[in-house]
Amino acid sequence: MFALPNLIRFSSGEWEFKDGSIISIPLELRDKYRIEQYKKITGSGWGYSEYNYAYFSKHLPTGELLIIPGLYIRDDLIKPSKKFYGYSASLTRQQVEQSISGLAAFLSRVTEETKRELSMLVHDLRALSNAIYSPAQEAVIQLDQGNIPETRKRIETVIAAQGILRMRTDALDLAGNILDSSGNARVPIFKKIDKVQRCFKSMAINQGKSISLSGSSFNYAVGHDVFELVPYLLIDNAVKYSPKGYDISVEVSDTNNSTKFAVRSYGPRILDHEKASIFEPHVRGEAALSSKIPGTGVGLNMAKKIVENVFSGDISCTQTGSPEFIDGMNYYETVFSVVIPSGN
Amino acid sequence: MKSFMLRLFQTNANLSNYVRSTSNLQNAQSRRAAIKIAVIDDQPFLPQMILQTYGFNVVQIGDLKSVSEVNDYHLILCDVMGVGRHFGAKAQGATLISEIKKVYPEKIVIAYTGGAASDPAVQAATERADALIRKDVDGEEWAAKLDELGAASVDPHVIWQKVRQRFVELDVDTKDILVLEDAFVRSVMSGQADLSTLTSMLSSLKVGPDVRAIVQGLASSVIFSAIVGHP
Repeated sequence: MFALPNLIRFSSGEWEFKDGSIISIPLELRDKYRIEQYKKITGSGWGYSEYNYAYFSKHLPTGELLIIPGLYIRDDLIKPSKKFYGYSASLTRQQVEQSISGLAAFLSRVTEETKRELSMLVHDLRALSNAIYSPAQEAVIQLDQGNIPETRKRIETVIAAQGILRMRTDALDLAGNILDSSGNARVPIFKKIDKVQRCFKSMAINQGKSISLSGSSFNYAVGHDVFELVPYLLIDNAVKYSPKGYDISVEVSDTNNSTKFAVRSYGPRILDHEKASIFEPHVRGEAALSSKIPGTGVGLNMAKKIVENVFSGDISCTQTGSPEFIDGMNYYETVFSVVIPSGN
Repeated sequence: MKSFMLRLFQTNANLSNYVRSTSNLQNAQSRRAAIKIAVIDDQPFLPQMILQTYGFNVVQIGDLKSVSEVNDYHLILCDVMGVGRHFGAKAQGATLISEIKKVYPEKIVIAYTGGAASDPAVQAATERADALIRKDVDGEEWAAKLDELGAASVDPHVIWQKVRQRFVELDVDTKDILVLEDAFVRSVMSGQADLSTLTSMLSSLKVGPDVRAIVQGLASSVIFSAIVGHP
């Protein structure tokens, strides 16, 4: 809800009028007839309309036309031809313009973020489409040649790719939803981690990388049934950023009343001051950005929200050892650790 | 005196370990075969073959025309979109779930959907159903969820919790609930598949038609034949 009265023409051509939550204009300035008059405004900028009350209009970066009608401006030389009881001049032109500029800047940022996320989604979906199509075609070829073991292997790869597609869809579905600790599903931690790393195995092999799982856990986590997105997001990150020929290891262990799992791989340098902020929304480290590997900075933030808000756990990142210079970039051993309280 | 009289009543707490002590439902595989699952969907239910391979007894019954169509099933899977057209123009899965729960509060109803979590139809179904399953989960996850909820669907302790909650919603007198609970527990403990002690007690109480319909539905449903092993 806007503070000022507003009439918006959407990209579809539809109009919507809403009175302001702070500045409300008199009924006589927002009746059906007046609204029709305001709809004739096309350009951007200041003007006068009904009873010489001012309006300000602006084309928003999202494509809509925003009109703020019926304004009684304090510093205007032209005064309204009709006054309404209780409605006085309260804003200056500058205040109105600042308010709309702030809104336009906010919408512009949201639009850019949405575009970036959509672009990333298209990228991921195409990769998954290929990860499903290629082994499926290979399975047909192997079947024609009567090679049942190889056919089976390809079909298992297709199933694994579907698993990643499903989790990518879940991540998309979950983005923007409020995550809380009200869920009561019992989630077998090890089983979920194992399943996720199995899904990624073929994709990692295709990229010349490998994934290994060690340790065990007999604990359950309690919360909304979204736990598997945590290993999904962390392993996806590791597969994406680790250099060719390197191993990604997933380690799981039970401690007193909690389960710890860690995803260890080589990754781009995370500067000390970036270690906390990489979990903030839309933040990526300098080295990750310069690697040109596509990303939105949404995944780690989602992992943190799930770990902390849904399961009351902790997530952290450490980098140790000396750098390895690979393909023109320094890589460090990077460990993302998650501790989840046991809900047994 | 009052507390002495109250101690004579059997309560649902006596049934908390009932399933663990009944041999015919301890084994997951035999439970999968014994529990009848109805699927309410206007489209073919794609995981049916996979679930049958796991040993589940799944029957697709299409869109519901009447709530009584689910009478013979322990567990109901209900699609969120495209169903409920016999219950009104705006009805969807959430409407069906509510209607089923009114008559059969004891039955476990699972909403399943391909819709987004933020979709109001999905949110409404999630609030009313016992659980939500996303359409694209794999066979392993389907099996885990159906095993967990299947066990609850034939657990008399859970069943009475749900029925009692419905009685409270219907504003049934607490004393009547106590008497009915005592009769229910005695019926189950003595292995009555038709809950005859409960139905006899019902005839002596002044309760509304909704309560009668729920108790009679409970007595005529297949749940207790699965529990006591007399199909």
